[in-house]
Formats: sequence, structure tokens, C-alpha cells
Amino acid sequence: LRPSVSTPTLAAEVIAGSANPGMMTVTIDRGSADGILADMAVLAPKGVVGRIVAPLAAHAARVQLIIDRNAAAGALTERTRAGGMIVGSTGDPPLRMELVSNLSDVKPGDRVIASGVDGIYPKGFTIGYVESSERGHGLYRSITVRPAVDFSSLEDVLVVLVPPRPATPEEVPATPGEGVK
Amino acid sequence: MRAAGVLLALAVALAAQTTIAGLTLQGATAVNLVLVAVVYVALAFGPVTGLLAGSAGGLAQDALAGGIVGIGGLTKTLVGFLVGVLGMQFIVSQSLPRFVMFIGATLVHELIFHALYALAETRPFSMQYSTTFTQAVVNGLIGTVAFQIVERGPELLQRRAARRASYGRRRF
Repeated sequence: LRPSVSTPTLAAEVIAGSANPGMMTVTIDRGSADGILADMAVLAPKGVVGRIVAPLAAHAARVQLIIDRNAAAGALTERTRAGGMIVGSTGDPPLRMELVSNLSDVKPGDRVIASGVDGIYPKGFTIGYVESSERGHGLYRSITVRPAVDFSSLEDVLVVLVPPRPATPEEVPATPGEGVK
Repeated sequence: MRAAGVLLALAVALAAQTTIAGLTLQGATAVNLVLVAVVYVALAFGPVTGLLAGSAGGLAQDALAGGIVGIGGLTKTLVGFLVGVLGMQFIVSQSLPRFVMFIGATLVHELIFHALYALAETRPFSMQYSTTFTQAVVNGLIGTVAFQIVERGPELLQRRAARRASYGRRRF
């Protein structure tokens, strides 16, 4: 996987699962001492796994899987570039693609990739494949997505060592010397 | 002594749950060992111990797993207390009533847990019923077997030791 990823990454091993069946998280054997920060993306050979969540230990970190019901990511379909948001759910398949216009062309089998707009997941990595796509009652289509990664046998992952992009300009850290007269 | 036993049971359940989830995510959703420990404690020691065990176990689970800290704690506190009260009102010394109690406790736990999350996050209530029923049955089986092991285990060991001793006497 590493040669195919252009961004700096760090390999990690899954060492534990979630203590609560309702929460889709795993623990990896890398932490803040290895340069990992909260909200860094985690990848597997087949696609997006999730993101690092705070708090981090020195040599361990918790990863919120993309199928967790509190997880979300900016996404688009590879074929038609229809943009939307992937969210985890408790259903089967465990991913839904929301905010995709009823006018968009999305068909079962379409590959869904990360759009990169969330500032966490690098653009272009596979999230999953559209399983069903129906016209919704409102403005948006009802789309379910089967994740590309088999989360039931997750062993080794790559942590993308790129800090997440700040959501607002106020969060951008000041450069040294800025504001000093 | 009782408090130490309860805390040890909760710690073992948490460690086992985390290990199972680390091995297979599907296995992790199929069983909630902390809930099994809380229901066991409530049935064995009554509502107050069940309430305290539920509170401690739920909070520990919340802290380790992420999400909103307190929802799991509150849910298990309620379940521990309810099971303790029902355990005092009805005769639950046989395997079948215990199995039913574990199943009922799991269903109530999942219902309250998802309802509280829906309230806290102002989102529609959603629950995967097939996973919940599977978890209820697996929890029931593990809980019933745990009761059998704890209650009959020492007796079986004593019998085995006595049999060995009598065999030894006959031989020499």
C-alpha cells in the first residue's frame, strides 16, 4: 500500500477493538510519540478506514471507523463526480451517502471515493461501492454504500501523517513573527 | 470482598470484550460482556449492587470506547437496578428464567442506549434489530453458562477430588 500512497504515512497494527459494541472503534499501536495527531486519516489497502480520535496515548491511538454512526466524510462518485457526504449507520450496508441531488446520476456499483473537502481524508481513496440508489422524497437521493474495507478482519493500517486542514480561517495557526512589529 | 469480586468481574469483562473486538468486529457486536457481568451481578447480589456495577461498568466502557461519556453508564445503571429488582420479585434460580432475564436486559439496554443517543444527538431513533436479537441470545447463553460454572463448578471439582481420593484408597 505504501508505494501507492504519495503522502507520508506510518504503518500501524490494530491491537484492540472497542469496549462497547455500539461504538465502531479500534486501537492501533502508534500514538503521539510517533507523530500522530487527532483527525489524521487511517487507510487500508482497499480504502478508507477512519480517522484518529482524541485523546491519544504516547504509543496507542483510537481510530473511529468510517462505519461508526458518528463518522462522516466528504465523498463523490468516481463515474459522474456526484458529490455528497458519506455517513456511518447502524443498517446494512453500514454507509449512507447523503446530500446527493435527485438530479445526479448515481447507479449501483459506482465507486465512491473521498473528495477531500473535509480536510481529513485525502482525495481519491476508495470508500466503497454504491449498493442502492433511489430517488428521495425531498431534494436528495437515498443512497446506501457497501464499504470497500472488510472491517471484520482489520490487521494492519496506514496513518496519513498530514495534519488535518483547519475548518475555519481562525483555526489556522499564526506563522512565526506574524503580528510582531 | 463482594466489591472486589464485582470490580474484578467488570475488569475481566471489559478486557475480554476489547480482545474479542480486536480479533473480529462482527464478534464484537454479537456480544456485550460488560452487560452480561452487570446483569449477573444484579441477579446474584440485588438491585443496589447491580446499580453500582452498572454505573461503574458503563462509565468505564464509555471512557474506553469513545462517544458520549455517561450514556452507557446511565443505561447500565438502569438495567442493573431493574434486573436486581426483578430478580428479587421472581424466582430466577433456574437456567431458563435467567436466560430470559439476560435476553430481556439486553433488549431493554439496547432500546435505552439508542434512544438516549437519538435524544442527545437530536437524530431519528435507529436500531439494527437483527444484531440486537443476536446479541441478546448470545448474552443469554454466556450469562446462563457463567451462572452454571460459578454455582456448580466448585461442587463438580469437589466431587472429582473425592472420586480421585476414593480411587487412590482402593488402589493402594
